[in-house]
Amino acid sequence: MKARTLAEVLFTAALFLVLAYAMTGYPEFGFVRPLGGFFLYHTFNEGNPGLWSGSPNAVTGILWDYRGYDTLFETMVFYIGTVAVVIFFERRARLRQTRGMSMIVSASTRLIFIFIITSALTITIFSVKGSGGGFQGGSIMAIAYVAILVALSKGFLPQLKINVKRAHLLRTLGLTIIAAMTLTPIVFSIATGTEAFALQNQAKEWAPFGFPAFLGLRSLSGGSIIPIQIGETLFVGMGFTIMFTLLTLKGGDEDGDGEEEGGGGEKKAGKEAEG
Amino acid sequence: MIDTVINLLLVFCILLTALSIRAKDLLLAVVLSGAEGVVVAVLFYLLLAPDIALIQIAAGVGIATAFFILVLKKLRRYEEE
Amino acid sequence: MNPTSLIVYLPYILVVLMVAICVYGVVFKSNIFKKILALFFFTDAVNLLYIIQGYRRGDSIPPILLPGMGLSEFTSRAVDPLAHYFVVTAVVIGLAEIATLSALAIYVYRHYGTLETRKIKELRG
Repeated sequence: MKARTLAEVLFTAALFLVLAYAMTGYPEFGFVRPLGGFFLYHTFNEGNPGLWSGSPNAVTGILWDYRGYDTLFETMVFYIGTVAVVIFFERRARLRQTRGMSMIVSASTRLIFIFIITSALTITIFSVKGSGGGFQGGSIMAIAYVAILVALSKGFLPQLKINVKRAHLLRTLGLTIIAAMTLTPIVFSIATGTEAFALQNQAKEWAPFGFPAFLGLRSLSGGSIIPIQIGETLFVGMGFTIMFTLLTLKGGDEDGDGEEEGGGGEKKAGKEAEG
Repeated sequence: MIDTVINLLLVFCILLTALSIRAKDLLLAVVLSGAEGVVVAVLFYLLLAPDIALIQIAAGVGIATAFFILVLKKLRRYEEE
Repeated sequence: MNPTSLIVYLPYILVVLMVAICVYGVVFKSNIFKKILALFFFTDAVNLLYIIQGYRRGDSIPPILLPGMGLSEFTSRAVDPLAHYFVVTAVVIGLAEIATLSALAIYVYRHYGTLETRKIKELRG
């Protein structure tokens, strides 16, 4: 046992030394590389509309314009992760509504829920102007669900009309928005015979299709970025909500097959019997 | 000045990580992971990444800690040896 | 290596120390839940590496163009947005990955009744 611990520590130390030596080949701390400078220069360069993304926030511009395909496939990875959890835990489950919640608690919780959802949407919509975005808004939307789960009980969720089916529907709505914004340039290209590519945002010299850069207001710019971000918010928030709902359900909450819950530790079995 | 603060916070982060990986009580490890997430979020803010600080607070601290606790409810709380 | 360059590289070296500790947790810890937790710390460490690499020393600002600021001033002061882009998606994807692994861990616990990989090995052989 002692020799084994020594071997583990030696392995970790050797790994640390190798990695630290590799780090000395990095550029110095506090220095921006030329590629980052390129994105900074072009993302809101009104003098060069062939290369700009129309978003003052450079991170958002890269997220859904310059490296849009990358983000699209990251979305697919998240989709597959959600599907994996759904496959493991999907049951014909329905949460039972608990009683005893007073009117005041119910109303105030509903109010707080609406506040959190509103803040998530605000962070999403104004992501081109300040900091934020689809992933951030989606995480905050999922926080609303966690807050209700922790502060009250899961029997309270049916009162807010949250269930897995609705979450699936909203998630599909988000994905539909993303797909529609992705495919619109292609449809335009087929209809008019001009060049365009999927997920195109602003017009290029060789591809004349482009979403309007400013949505009426000067403060909301970014072309297709804002609708796609709203779709991403719905998708990420509802994906986390589905994961949480399925992980929270226990034997007592289900309609039918409760025998799947058995076979765990003895402590857990006792808890199951009580509940 | 900013270098010193960043290095100190990184050392703090490493300490929390090591403590969390050493802990026998898995619930304590999860709580320490939440603390580490907060320190990382502060580091992101100091390194001028407000986007990342937002997402780290929402996803890395809030959702991840709640998720780990929910999973731990279905598993055993203590490590065996 | 002279001492000044060591101070310049100190944030990198500290992050790498954190990576080494996380690899220790993933490889040598016996509990599967602890392995998942170490993987979570690993994503945090790698995200920190990206952000530290994109930092600009001096009078720097976040990569958001504020109204009234000239483009050349913005380009010469803002930090690297590309590193931030990678981390935005990496945090969420890391969390989805953790969720999938946790679901698998729950199945392992239901099947074997334990989470220790050493004990699972004994059960099989």
